[in-house]
Amino acid sequence: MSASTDFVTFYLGGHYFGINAADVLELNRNLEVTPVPKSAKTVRGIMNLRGQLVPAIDMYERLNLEAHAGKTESISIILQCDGFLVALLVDDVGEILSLDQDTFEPPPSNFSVISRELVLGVHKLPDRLLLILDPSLINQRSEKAKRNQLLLAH
Amino acid sequence: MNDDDILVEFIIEAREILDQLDLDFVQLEITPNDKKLVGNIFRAMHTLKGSSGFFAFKRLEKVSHAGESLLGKIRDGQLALDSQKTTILLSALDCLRSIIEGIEGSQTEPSGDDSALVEQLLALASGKGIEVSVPQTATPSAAEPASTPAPETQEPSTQSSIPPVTATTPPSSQLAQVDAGESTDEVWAPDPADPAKNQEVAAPVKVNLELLDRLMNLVSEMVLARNRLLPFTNQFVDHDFSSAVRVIDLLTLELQERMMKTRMQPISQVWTKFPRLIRDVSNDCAKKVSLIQEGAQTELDRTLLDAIRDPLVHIIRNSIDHGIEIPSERLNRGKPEMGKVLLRASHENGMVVIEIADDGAGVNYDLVRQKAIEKSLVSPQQAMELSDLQLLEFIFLPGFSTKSQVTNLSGRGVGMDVVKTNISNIGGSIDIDSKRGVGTTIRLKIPLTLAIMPALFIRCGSEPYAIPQSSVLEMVRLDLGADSTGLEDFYGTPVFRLRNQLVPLLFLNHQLDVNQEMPTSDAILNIAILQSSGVRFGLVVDEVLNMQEVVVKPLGPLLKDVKDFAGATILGNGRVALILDVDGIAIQSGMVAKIQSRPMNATSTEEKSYEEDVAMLSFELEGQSRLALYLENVERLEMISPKQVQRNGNRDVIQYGNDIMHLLYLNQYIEGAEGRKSPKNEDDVIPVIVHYTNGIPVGLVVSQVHDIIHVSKNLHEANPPQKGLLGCVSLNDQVINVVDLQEILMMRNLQENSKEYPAVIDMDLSS
Repeated sequence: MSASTDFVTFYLGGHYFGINAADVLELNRNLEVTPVPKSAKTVRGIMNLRGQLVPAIDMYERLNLEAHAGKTESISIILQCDGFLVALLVDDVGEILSLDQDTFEPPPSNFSVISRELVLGVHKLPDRLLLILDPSLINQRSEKAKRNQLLLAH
Repeated sequence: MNDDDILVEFIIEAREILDQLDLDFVQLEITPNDKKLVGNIFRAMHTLKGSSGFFAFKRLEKVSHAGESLLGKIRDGQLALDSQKTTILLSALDCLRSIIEGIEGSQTEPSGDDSALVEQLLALASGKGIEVSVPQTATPSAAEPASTPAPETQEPSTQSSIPPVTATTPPSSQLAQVDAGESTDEVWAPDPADPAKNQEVAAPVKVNLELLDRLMNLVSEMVLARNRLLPFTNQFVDHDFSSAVRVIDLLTLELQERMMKTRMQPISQVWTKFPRLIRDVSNDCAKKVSLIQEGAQTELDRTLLDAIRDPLVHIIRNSIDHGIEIPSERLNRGKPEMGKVLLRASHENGMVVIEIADDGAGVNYDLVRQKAIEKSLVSPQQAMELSDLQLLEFIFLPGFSTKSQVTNLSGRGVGMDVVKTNISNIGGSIDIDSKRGVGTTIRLKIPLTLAIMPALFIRCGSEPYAIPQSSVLEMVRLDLGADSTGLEDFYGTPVFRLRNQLVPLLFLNHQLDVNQEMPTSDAILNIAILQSSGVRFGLVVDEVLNMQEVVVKPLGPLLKDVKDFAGATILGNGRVALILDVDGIAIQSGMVAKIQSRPMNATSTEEKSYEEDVAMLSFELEGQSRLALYLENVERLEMISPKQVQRNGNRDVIQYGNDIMHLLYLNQYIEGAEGRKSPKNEDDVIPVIVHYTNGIPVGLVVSQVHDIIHVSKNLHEANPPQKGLLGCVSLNDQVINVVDLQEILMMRNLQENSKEYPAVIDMDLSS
C-alpha cells in the first residue's frame, strides 16, 4: 500500500521538518507570547488564539537544537493533538508536500543531533531529508526529556 | 444517526428516567395512594425495559422487568407500597444505574449477577414477604391480597422491538437532568420541585457543553474586538460609521449577556438528588428527617453547580448524622419526632447564598473543646477561654472529628476541611452558626459565575499579573528609608510591622524566578497583603496597576505543574496575563509550614485585638482633619481625575466599571467641615472612598485618605448630636470623629427625593 500523506513542512535551525497536515489546525505569524515563569524550559509561554490559551513550544529547546543564524521563530504552527492545542514556534514554513510511503524510512541510528524520540522517520527527498515529527509526543514531556533537563540543570 | 449515537441517546434518556424515578419513589412514600404517580413510575420502568431489550442488554432488561412486575401490581391496587418495597425498588434503581454507568464506560453491559435482587422483586410481586438485610423491615401490610397471579414473563419479548423514542416516556423525559454524559448539557429545566405535574412543554434543546464553551470564548473575543473598534469612532467624524459601530456595540453587549445566561442553571439540578440522599441517610441512622427546599430556581453557573454538589452532599450527611437526634430523643426534648433539614438558595449582592439548616442538637461545644485538647491543638486552660465562635473554627481543621466511632457516613475526620477547601477554590466562603439544642445553620456564599472575577493587576519584571481580589486584604506602601524599623528578619523570613503585627514578606520576583533583585535600603516597597489558607503575608510587587474584572481561563495540561498560577486571562489588548494562585505561592515558598511551626504573633493577643478593637479608615476633610469611617463600609479607595466627573441632572457622577457611581461630597454633610476647594488644575486627583449601598456604588469625596486604624469599640457619643457624626474615639491621645454614614446617606436621599418635587427646591445644598 502506498497511500500518500500530506505534510506541512517547516524550517528550524537549518533542518527541514514535516508534520502530518491532518494534525495542523492553522499557521499564524507573530502571535505574542506571554512567558510563564517556572514552567518547563520547552514551554516558551502562552498565547491567545481567538480567546483560547495555547501553550507555545520552544522547538529549539524541545529538539535540543543549537541556536542558528536563521532563528526567528516568527511563525507558529497550531497543532491539535489529544484534544488540546499547542503552538510550535518555527523559523519559516515551506510547502505542503504530498509524499508516498515509498520514500519513508525509520530514523537512521547515527542520528544524534535531534531528540530521536520525536522523529518518526525521514522522507528522502531528491535534494534533502525531511524529518517527520510525531505530534503526540510534542505535547508531553517524556521521561527522557525530563531526565535531560535534570542533567542540564546540574 | 449511527448506532453509537443511538446508544448515547439511550444512556442520556436512561439517566433521566432513573433520576426522575428517584424523586418519584420518595414522593410516593409520602403519598402512597397517588395512582397517577404509580402509573408514571410504572411507565418509566417499562420504557427502560423496552429500550434495554432493543439493545439486548440482558441484565438491564431482567432487573427492569422484575421491577415493572412489582410496580404493575402496585399500580393495579393488588399490592400496597410499603417501606420494604420502596427500599427494594430503590436498590433495583441503584443496580440499574450502575449497569448504565458500565454501559457508558465500555459500550457493553458489565457482567454481574442480579438474580438475588430479581428474585426479591418477583417474590414481592407475587405477594410473598421476603427477608432481606434492609434497614427497615416493615411487615407487608395486611391489605395485601393472599394470592396474586405469577408475573407475566412473556412481556420482554413482546416489548423488545420498541425503539427508545421519547414519546414512550411522558413524565420522566420532561425533567431535565444534566448528568447525561460529561459533555452534554441541558439548557432548560422545568420545576422539579413539583414532579407530579405533567403538562406538555416544548421539547428542550440539548447542547454540547464544549460547544457552549467555545461560543462563550468567541463572545469574549468579540467583546475585546469591539473594545478595539470603539476608539476609532472618535478619530473619524463619519456619522454612518459611528452608528454602525454603536449597533455592533449594543449587539455585542446583548450577545454577551445572553451567552452568560445560557451557562446559568437552576440549583434544583443538584438538589433533585437530595430527597433520595436524605431518605437513605436517615434510614441508615434510624432517624426521621424531612427535607424542605426553598429557592430551587436560583441560578448558578454550570461549573459551579458541579463544584458545590459534593460539599452539599457532605453537609447534608453531617446534618442528619451529627445534627438531627434520634426520634425518641427528639420527643424527650419536646421536639417533633420528624427532624427538618432546610435547603435555601437565594441571590444576595451578586452572590448566591445557600443555607443548610437543621433543627437538631447543634454542635456539641464541650466535645469540640475536649477533642481540641486531646489533639493538643490548645492547652486545657486556653480551651476554657475559647468562645463558641472560636470553637467552631476547629471543625474546619483537617482530621478533626467529634465522632468517636467511624461509620460509613462520617467520623473519619475528612470532611468539613475538604468542604471548606472546595468552597474557597471556587471563590466562595462558608459560615457556620450553631445553637445548642436548637440546630445548626451552614451558609455557603458562592459567586454567581466562576468565569468572571475581579482581580488586582500588578507588575513584576516586565509582565502584568492578576491577583484574585478575594485574596487581597489591603495594599501597603512601605518606605524603607523613612520607616525606622523597615525590614526585619524572623528566623530567616523577612518580615515588616503592620500596625504592630509582624507580617512575613515574599518577593514575587524571587518567587517566580523573574530576577533576583533585592530592594535597596531606601526603596519604597509596594506590598499586597494577602490571605491564604489561614496565613496572612505580604507580597512585594514592582508596581500596582489597576483593578479589573477578568475572565479566567485554565492553563491546560502542559502547564498544570506550575503551582504558582491559577489560570490566565486575556487582556483588552489581546495579550495573555497570568493569574497568581495565592495559596499555591504561599505553599510553594515553604512559608506556610514555617509560620505554622513558629507562630509570629501570639495568637491570644491577635484574637483579643479582634474582639475589642474595630478597624476604621481615617481620612480628612477641609476643616476636619481627624475623621474615620468603619472599615466594613469601605469597598475600595479610588483616585479620580476631575476630568472624569460628569453631571447627571444635579448630581455629580463618574463612570465606575459598568456602573454609574454617584459622588457624595462628605463636607456638605459633616458639621465643622469647610466647603470643598475646587481643584486647582486638571491634573489634581480627587480621593474617593467607594461604598456600596444596596449593590450601588457611592463615591465619598474626601480631601485625603490616611490609614487603617484599630481603635477601641467604645464610642463616645457626641452630645449634643453633631450633624453627620456618630461620636468620637481616641487613638494615641488624639480624638477622632467617627462618621455616621447611615445618616449621611439618609440626608442625601431626603434631598434627592425632595428634588423630585419641584415644590421643595430650596433643599438643594450642592454648590
